Amino acid sequence: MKCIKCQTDSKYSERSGGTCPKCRARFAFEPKSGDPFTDPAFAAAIDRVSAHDAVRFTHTNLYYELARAGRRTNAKKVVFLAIGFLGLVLGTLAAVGSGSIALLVVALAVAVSGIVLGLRAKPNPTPALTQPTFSSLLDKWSAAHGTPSKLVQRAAPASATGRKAPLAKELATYSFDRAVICDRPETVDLLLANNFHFENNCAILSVTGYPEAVFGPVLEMLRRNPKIEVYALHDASAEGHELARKLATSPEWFRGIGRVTDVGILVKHAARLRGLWSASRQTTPRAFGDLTAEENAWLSVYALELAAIRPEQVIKRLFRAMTQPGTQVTTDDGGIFFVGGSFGGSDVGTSDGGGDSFG
Amino acid sequence: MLTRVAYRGDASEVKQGPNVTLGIHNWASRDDGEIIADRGGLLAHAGSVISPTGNSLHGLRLALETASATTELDGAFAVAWVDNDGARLRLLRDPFGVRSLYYFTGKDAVYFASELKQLLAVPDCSREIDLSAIHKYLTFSFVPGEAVPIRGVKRVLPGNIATFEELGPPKTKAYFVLEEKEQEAFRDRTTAVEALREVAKAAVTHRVAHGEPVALYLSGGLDSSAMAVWLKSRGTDTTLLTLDFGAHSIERAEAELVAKTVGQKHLLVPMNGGDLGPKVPELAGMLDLPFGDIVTGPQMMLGLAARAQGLKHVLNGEGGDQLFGGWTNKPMIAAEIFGGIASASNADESREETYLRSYHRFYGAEDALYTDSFREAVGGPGQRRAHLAPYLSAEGGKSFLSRVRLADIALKGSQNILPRAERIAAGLGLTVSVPLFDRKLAELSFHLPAEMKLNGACEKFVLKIAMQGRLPEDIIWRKKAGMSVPMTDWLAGPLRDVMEEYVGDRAVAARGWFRKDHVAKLREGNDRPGETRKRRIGEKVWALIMLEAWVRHVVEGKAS
Repeated sequence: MKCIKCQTDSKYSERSGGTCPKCRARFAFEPKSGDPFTDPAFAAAIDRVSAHDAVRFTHTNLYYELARAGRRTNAKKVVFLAIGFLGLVLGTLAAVGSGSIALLVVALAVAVSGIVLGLRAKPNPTPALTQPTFSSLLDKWSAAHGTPSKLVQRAAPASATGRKAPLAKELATYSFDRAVICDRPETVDLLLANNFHFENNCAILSVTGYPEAVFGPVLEMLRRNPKIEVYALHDASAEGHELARKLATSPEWFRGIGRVTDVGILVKHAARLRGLWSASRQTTPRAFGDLTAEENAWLSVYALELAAIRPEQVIKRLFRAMTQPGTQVTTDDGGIFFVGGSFGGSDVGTSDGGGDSFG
Repeated sequence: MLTRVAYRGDASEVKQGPNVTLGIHNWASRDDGEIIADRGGLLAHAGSVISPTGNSLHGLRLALETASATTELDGAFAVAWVDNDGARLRLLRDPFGVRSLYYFTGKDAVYFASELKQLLAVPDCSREIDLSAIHKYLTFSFVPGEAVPIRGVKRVLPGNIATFEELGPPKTKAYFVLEEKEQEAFRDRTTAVEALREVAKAAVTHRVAHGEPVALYLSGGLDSSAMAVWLKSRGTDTTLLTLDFGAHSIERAEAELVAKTVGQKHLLVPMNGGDLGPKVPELAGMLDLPFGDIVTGPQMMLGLAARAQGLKHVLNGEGGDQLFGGWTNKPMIAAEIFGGIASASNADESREETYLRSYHRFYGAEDALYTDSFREAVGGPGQRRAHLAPYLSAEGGKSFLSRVRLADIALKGSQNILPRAERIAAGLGLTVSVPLFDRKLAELSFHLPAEMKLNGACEKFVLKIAMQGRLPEDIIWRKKAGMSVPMTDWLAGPLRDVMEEYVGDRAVAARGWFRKDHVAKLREGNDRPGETRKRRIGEKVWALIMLEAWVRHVVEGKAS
């Protein structure tokens, strides 16, 4: 394993005590002891998720980045293809040696089946890496190399208002032109840590009431602007599917005020990110009238977290979605919202959610 | 020294007194400066002085003899005064810094001038570039504060008097300080609007002579449209000039609507990158100091169009955002509310840092851009924040937005918008007036309650109300669009050769300040991964081009 400090490659016997034989830097992981990643692989995941140390990311973003690495090395695909090629080589050799046509036919059948199954094999729907395993890996990493510099930290509740507390009365008299309402507090953290609020002059809240220190006054500020533009950002999940509708129709949110646009991940966009799905949080599965039976079935079992998309992509797609008109949807009770296309682009769908190219 | 500013006039005058020589170069046909010798001493002033009493010379004398803060002088002027004994020299700049005054102390004399290039003509003057000032330029896109990027040369700050009684640093004193003093009477909308209309009209009247034809740079936004209304209301023959970016134009139709509303002559000024390229050396020379904002080229084109119309006096609507709570306040409010809630482990930032980032140039990109030697030469941390601390961190009951507005006026207004507009105009033989940066109007804006400026999410509320019935509703209430100079596209097209010449690999390596790989990345249209706005790449590259152009054409004196 290579040392990430001095790049010296060492054998297991040379790194007794878990340190580099040359520079004595500590290793976080030891694959021989069962760690699923090497230090260079973990460092590479941090580098990718942070867009080369330029973008801040959450714990969950890093979890999915590591899961994405596992998704690329799809175990089923590797096993089937190995069987296929081995069957082809060994069967052909055996058939030639024995002169048996029957053996050759059997070998070719095994080979073709293996290769076909290998090429068609889908990854497991959810990551093999579990959240608790990831947390212990991150702890090990931080102990050896320090906390990643772009890892988002949430302020302790006591100091969550930053420089002043509570929200200054003067500021509460103003309003915003736009707001991003997220289904998860973690998404709020991600956007705030990357200064999305500052760059785009918008409020960022979660539907769950986060950040608690400013939530009430900021929601009041938003509701004061009759032209407020609201963007609902969410997972592909039952709760996420409801978010824009809830914001547009609830009198506690923006019923009759401004314009709500759904810019989250839609269920139809989740299919191609198989391998990064998570379990549905629905206790009682619901059937949404605007979804197909297949989509409702998927929602009853799975979800796709926004955190599975790299932060750089989330920021750019959200910005783009905020500058484009969406398609109007009228709810059963007369509410209106719009559906944007932030995560429907082919570059997310056809790749693994981490593509770097952007038009 | 006077020949260096030949474009500022057609007449020169030099007078000598005890221990002093004063010179001025101005237009004989315009009331834009003189040298006066009388019992009070020797006094030279360049530019125009506005005095509420009507006797501007008396006001000037009072200010200079007493270094008094009670004077109500306004206008666009740079003044020097020497007492009868030649023992005391005072330099005075107008309240908002439209005109400039630089000085340095030589072996046996203090030299001063209204342009840096005049001082560079003095053999005693250093030509060594002060890299700490360049470091600030790379954050602000202009150089803030007293220091300029030539070692040893300083400038008098706007609204200040500098007194020299011996060789060495002067004693400086601010004679004009804006303070927040909200007045209850202005909570009444009608009272506030009437006061605004009255003071704004007076601001225009003080700056435009009766019967004088002028040009107004009309963007189609609220501020310049309001200016068109006020000029029309006093019967000024105004030619409205609007930039035409072709397919990139976003406010052309609005400008045409305003022109139709006020019934004045309206001209579209074609603007494309191809026309701008050959003018870069001339533009850098006019600007005198490095100014990296992309609007300077378009402003030059507007000036050329005004001159082609035979006009000598141009006006613009700059200042509305700074005085009346424009859109630039909003990101600061967002940062103030959400700051400190979530951040990376090492990135909890101060109000000053947030403000520095709002300039969207190279703040925070130092590691990527600076070479090791440049970084070492720029000095220690905190230099840029120090320019903001007096405003943003000051205590004393000031509201948050007042602090931001004070910083905006002192930095963006007085050290960027106003001096660059004045120099481009002067470089073309024009006089520029910026009526919204009027002393009385600025004071009024600090007497108005906060809700008359940013009202909910509505910017410049009082100005919008004041324009109701005078401009079409759509012009008043639509969202701010800003000047959309398509610089990123130009750099990839018609300005590519200019970009290569000034910030190509060879140029960057020869200067030694910046990392070639980072500048190359910017040239290719790539910036930091989280950047969502393509236009900011062009803005950054242009700032680097104008810096290199300034070094070559102003400091090193190279022709194009």
